Amino acid sequence: MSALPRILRTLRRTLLQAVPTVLGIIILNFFLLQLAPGDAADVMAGEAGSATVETMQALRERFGLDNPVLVQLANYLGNLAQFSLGFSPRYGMPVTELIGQRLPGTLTLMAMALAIAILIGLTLGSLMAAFSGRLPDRLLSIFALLFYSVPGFWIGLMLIVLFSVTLGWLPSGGAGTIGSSYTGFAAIIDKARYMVLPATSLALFYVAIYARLTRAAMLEVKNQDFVRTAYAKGLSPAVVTVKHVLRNALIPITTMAGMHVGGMLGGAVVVETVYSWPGLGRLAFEAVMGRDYTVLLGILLLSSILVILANAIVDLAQAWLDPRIGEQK
Amino acid sequence: MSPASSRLLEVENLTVRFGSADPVRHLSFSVDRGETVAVVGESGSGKSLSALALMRLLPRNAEVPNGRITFEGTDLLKLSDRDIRKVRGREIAMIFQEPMTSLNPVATIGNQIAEVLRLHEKLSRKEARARAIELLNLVKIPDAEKRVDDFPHQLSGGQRQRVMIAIAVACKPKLLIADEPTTALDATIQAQILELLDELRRKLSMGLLLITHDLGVVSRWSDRVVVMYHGDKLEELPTSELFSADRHPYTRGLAQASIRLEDGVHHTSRSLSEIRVVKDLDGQNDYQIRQPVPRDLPPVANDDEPILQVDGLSVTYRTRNRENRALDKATLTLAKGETLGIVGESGSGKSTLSKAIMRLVNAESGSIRFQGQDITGLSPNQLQPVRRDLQMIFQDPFGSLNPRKSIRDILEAPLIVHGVHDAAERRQRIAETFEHVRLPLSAAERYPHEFSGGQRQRIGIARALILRPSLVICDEPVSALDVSIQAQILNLLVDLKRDLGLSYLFISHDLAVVQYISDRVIVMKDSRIIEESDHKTIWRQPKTDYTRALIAAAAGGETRSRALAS
Repeated sequence: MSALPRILRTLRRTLLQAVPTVLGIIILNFFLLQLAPGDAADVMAGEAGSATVETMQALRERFGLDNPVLVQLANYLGNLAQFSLGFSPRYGMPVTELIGQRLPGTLTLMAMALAIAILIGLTLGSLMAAFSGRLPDRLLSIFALLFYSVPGFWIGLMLIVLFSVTLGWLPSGGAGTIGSSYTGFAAIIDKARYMVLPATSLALFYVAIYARLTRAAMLEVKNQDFVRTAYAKGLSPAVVTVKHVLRNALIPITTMAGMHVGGMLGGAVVVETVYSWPGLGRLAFEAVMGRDYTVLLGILLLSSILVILANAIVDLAQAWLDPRIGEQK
Repeated sequence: MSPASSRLLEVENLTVRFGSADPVRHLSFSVDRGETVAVVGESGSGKSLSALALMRLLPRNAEVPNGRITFEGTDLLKLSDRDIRKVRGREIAMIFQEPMTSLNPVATIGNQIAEVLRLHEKLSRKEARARAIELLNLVKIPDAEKRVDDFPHQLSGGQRQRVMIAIAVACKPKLLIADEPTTALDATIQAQILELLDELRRKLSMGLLLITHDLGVVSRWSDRVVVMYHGDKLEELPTSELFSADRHPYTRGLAQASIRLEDGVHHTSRSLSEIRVVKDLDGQNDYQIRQPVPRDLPPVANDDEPILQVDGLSVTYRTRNRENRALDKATLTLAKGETLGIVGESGSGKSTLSKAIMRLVNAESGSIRFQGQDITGLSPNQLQPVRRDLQMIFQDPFGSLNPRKSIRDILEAPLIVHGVHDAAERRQRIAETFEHVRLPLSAAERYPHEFSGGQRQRIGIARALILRPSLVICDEPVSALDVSIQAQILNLLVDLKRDLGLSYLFISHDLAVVQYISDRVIVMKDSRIIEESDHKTIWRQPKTDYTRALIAAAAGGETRSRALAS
């Protein structure tokens, strides 16, 4: 049987499950945010320094914050039904537009970080498994432990100190050279230079996780009977590792990678702050401080969709990797 | 003596070392072209390690301090890693015990066969695929053209072992090593696989090195036998002399401890011989065969109410889009003091039957009466007092004991659950039970990993008996054990039945074992009970073709040995 029908079956199931999940997330988030003290009018009044009861009332009316909670929820859902995420009282622009500006930055950062993490993590993990118990394994284990336990922002700061301040190789923050007129390839290079440090500091924690995970998964697979069969065929250790061990070991790793997308969004807040990277993470942080719940709800909705999407991709990858998944019973 | 030119493999003085232990010591034997040599031994004899050593596939922490393995004139131990890889899979091929796990689950069987052809014969993808289909036909996989793209999980155990054989013979090796190739398979499949191996051996004129613990297999399929015990070769002999009287005492002990179907031995007529190996004063192993004197069993009381009465019991397992009727209208009765044997191949529903009686799975319809009480619909709370009288012994002595608990904890847990709160009384009960299963009292403070398979099974039996049950369900209690241990455990079960007045429901795929221990026998196939008879009639006049086929498959392995022995 070919892989395609299996993958399609998995896709259909995942999509069907996504709809109620997203709806549940929206409603849950909405009520959670109602629990936080204060609203956008409070913060705006506070920042203005002076406000009367009347102006507060007027502000609330303008943003629809004076309605009962359920009416607010109904309004929000009504907006969503028209594919609108609402209007931000604080930024004075539609939330869709606001997020649209920030999303690409965060997505490229995350994709880059995930790619680095998986690539380096798999390589290091395979090396550790190949030399398990010997010196290279021990050394790499120490590094993995280090990256695992040191907080991301500190690594970010140290990378800036080393590569930007001392060596001067890479820019310390921002997303591109301001006022530059690079086009084509030069523009990509410029962008990449700005991305290296934030992506690396976001990735290092996950490099450690994937390295350990790959090591464990490969050692487990290596002890399986079919690996002995592969050696008995006369295959060389390299071929056995790539063709028989790695593919089986990838199955648990992809599961973890999917789960990490959500975690990475959280990590992005810190890294984007350290590197003043204009992304969703920082927007979310600002929205919390400003009690701008419409923006926050929009971001939460988007990130939950992102996580669901990532899980769907993982499901598909697994259906492709493992013939036993998605089989019609 | 065979001429030098016909010699295929010559192993001389081979030792395998792990740290300070030598699990194989100074092993020498040879295999001629086209010959089948069997290496026989129980677990820990070093037979599998010797096989791996031939292929240089030993784990990395093992070394071979001395010895020579001459294959077609070259010493395999002296070859470089690159050169030994040219021998593996092409000159010497190997198949393993576990067909379920010996194939890569994420690659198609066609690709797994093609891989070895592309490696050694440098075939193109297309040629290799065509050859893979030919090979699948050769090993008699039906619909080979379609099955070639199947993944291993889509095949049964027997079919997977056929694929393993296809991989092994793909490059027409001169020597095939088969390490317990049929141990994990049902009796009928077992016979087919061995027949296939023998047929291929003749067709491809291979030498076959058969590694097994099963004397029945050895006597039917091999020309010569090497007997190993704890890393030492005890003797080497032509298979025809395997059952003759002047053999090494250990070989004789093995032959006597293994039960053969046509011998018709029953526990009422004699107990099984047990092998004892003791170190004598010079540190040499002294092998003793001991046959316990059987004592009389009280006759089965037929007039009493049966202890267990199962009527029309059905169990269906449901998944989201599939129903699987695992047990279909099973009806049986068991008298007090009786042993009811249940035979069947894997998937026949015998384990489901035992679980349903234990109320571990819920019945869909039908009823279970135990000691006069209908337990079919009892709630877990109501079941609690019933469970005291209804206990189970499991197959796997390794997996069924919690490795983090001491034996005392394991045995105390059921006592505490059933309200024995006095610590002194618990100690007393454990001491009694240990005496019953013949374990030293010091065992209580130790942990499961410190015991051998046979001892662990005694612990499993102790756990079942500590509540003083009246009915014990034995689910393949000796299948994971060596022949000599199997004899000890079977003798023990017979003694316990007499001393404690137990009734047994004895489930096994091994007809000889069931024949030995049962008073009556039930045959199961495809979730149904298809035949029931007393222990004499069922073997002499089986009513169904299926039972006849089972008996033929089980007896096939031993017919030759019996003819030779008598």
